[in-house]
Amino acid sequence: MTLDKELAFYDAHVEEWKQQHAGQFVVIRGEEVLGFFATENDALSAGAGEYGAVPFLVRRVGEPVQDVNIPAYTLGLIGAHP
Amino acid sequence: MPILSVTLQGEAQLPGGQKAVVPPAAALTRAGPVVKVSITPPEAVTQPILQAGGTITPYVGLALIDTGASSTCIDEDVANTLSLPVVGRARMASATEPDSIRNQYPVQIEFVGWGVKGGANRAIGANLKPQNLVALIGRDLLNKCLLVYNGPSGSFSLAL
Repeated sequence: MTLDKELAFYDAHVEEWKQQHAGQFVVIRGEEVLGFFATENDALSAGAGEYGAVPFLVRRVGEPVQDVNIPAYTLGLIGAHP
Repeated sequence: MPILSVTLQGEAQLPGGQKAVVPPAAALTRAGPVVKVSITPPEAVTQPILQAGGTITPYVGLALIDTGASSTCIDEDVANTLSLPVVGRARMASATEPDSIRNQYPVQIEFVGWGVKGGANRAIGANLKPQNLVALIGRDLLNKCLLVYNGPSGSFSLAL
């Protein structure tokens, strides 16, 4: 999966980052932290400026995983016909 | 108030190979409210790339308006083609399988022919290619819209 390394790095460090950067947006590529930013737009802009059009990770430090419901997709009903 | 009105046109292949026109009401019933969209990274991502001389090519395809979806989804291959950064993770609930963890991507979705962009929403990565879709438009985008579904006329309208 894309950014597995970055996500593993985030998971390994999120507890320590919560001490000083809770609520900020961290930008990670590989196992390198570009920085912590106040807004998602600032983080996206910094990441794109540094790395260009390649995948990088932007996560809000400490933000829980969001729950979503997309029943037509999860039930395989998109495009289903009687 | 900008309004996008879509009347579906359909064509079906008959057993003999001839083609027949499908009435709009039947086409809408079969395909659902689909609309052509153009997907790009949000401006926060595109601006530095453009300033550095790079190019951004929008990904154009069909999106299904899905009032049952709490979040907008985009096809994972589209996200990879556009090199979208992952900005979060979401747990997708299912009634029939264990919940799955999905990537969230920042996207800008423009409804082609409408000139209105849905800015910087987070979209969930999903496998939509088998349905010939690039996106599902969920309630997180629709919460800014008025949607009128006119089944008998085979049309629908979005107003912002």
